[in-house]
Amino acid sequence: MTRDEILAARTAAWPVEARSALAAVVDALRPSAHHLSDMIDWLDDIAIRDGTSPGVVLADPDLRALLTAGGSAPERLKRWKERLRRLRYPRLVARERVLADHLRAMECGPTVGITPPPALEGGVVTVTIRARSAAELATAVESLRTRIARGDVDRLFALLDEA
Amino acid sequence: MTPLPRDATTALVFVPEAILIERGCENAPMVRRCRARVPEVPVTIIDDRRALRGGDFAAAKRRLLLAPWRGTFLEHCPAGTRGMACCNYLVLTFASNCPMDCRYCFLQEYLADNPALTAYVNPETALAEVGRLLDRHPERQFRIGTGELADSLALDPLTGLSRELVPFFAARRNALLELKTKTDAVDDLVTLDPQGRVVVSWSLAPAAAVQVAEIGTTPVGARLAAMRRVAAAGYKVGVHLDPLVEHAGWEEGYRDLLHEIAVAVPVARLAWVSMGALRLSPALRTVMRARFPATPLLAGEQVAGVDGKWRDFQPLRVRMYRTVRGFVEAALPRVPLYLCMETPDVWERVFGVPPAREQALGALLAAR
Repeated sequence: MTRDEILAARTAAWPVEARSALAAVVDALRPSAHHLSDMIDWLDDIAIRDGTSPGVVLADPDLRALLTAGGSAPERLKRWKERLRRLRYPRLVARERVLADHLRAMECGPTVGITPPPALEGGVVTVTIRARSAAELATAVESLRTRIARGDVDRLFALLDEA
Repeated sequence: MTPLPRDATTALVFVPEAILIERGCENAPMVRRCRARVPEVPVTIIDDRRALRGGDFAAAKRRLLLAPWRGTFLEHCPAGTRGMACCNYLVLTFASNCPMDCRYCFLQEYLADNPALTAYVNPETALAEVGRLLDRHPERQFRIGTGELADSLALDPLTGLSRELVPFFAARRNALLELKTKTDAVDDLVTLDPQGRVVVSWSLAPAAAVQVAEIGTTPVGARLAAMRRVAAAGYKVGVHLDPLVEHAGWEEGYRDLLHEIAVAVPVARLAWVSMGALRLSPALRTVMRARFPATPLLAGEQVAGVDGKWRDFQPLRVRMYRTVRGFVEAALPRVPLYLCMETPDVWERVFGVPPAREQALGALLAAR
């Protein structure tokens, strides 16, 4: 389906002001059909959950501000969808932020990367080490060993365990 | 669906608006029983069911097609796929579609274009197929259920199928039949002796969840009353807390529900309890948006899992599983509890141990 077809099919039952607000978003951000479907799904979901209308969701000040913020349309679209995702998945995003804060606080160093699973599904973190020498590798491994010993990694997995 | 007054012997859960009979099976015993039980329903004889047109899923639920099934009746349960822990369960199909209309039901996607709720009129062929399997493997214990593509009992007051199934399985030593339902259609069942070989299972959820998610199903209180009746008649009872539905007050709802189950059924009669998350394929979500745009079931914090189905994000559903597991263990001590369509990782987080291999898990449940 094209963007216009998606808009026609998915927003026919929306109030006029909600359709207008979404049209302004589409003009400003030029989302692909795939992104637009996501956006409409999330707007509908939030409206159902909160007992409101998609237009009220679109009136969120942060969402409105992002339409005219700096950067290219794709960059603004990315930030706009991130904001909408925070509204759609408040508990998931809150947990992801706690995890991100914890990973920052662990300060594993520039050669060690720890990535939580996408959407926290699966419970498995991905650990990457970049090294140009045996010494760099040893430093990275020692950094991880220290953080395991002081309980940082246990805390990391606890955050993935239960919400 | 037109409700009919209940009588002492036949609780009609469903009365179709029309009955279609494929030519050639007009005199099948099941056809004769159906016609005798709802003589007021108009009947049409059709030459070939393939000529029927589908497309209106809700309308299809209201007309009953009686026709033979010419394929294989037994299949492996589809839950054991793509990274999910499996309990080695076989599915036996006697009907396709359901008169109830649960908002989350996968049949909305799977049978989207089907033209009618179909009951297969040749159960003797199915039971012959089952008999051959059981005879080939006398050393194995099989768990076989009929509730995959249809509610096991919703059509029973019309078809009388349980009168054929229960004696067949009662006479077998290496199989356990599970009849899975959201109804209270047990009037025929309680007149039969299952010899310990039949489990009648109920899908249960707190009344608040049933109200928004399980439209057209029997109220929870009536299901519990039916549970009490079959337990008294010698059946084992199963409980499926599946899907677990997060809603306002869900913890109290599930705690109270487990308490009510414990009051209704002696723990010794309970065969198993399962838990499963609400899980929706992308295609099912699309269908639900079209059919029920205001359903709150789509508004949970669901994400795509390893099998492509959307569930509440993992830490959230682990919390739900652990919470409800606590309620189950407090109310129904020592009753086997398992997860349906979950990953080994979630299983281990909930129970502290990885899932048993499928043969072992299946044997454990079959031995109940």
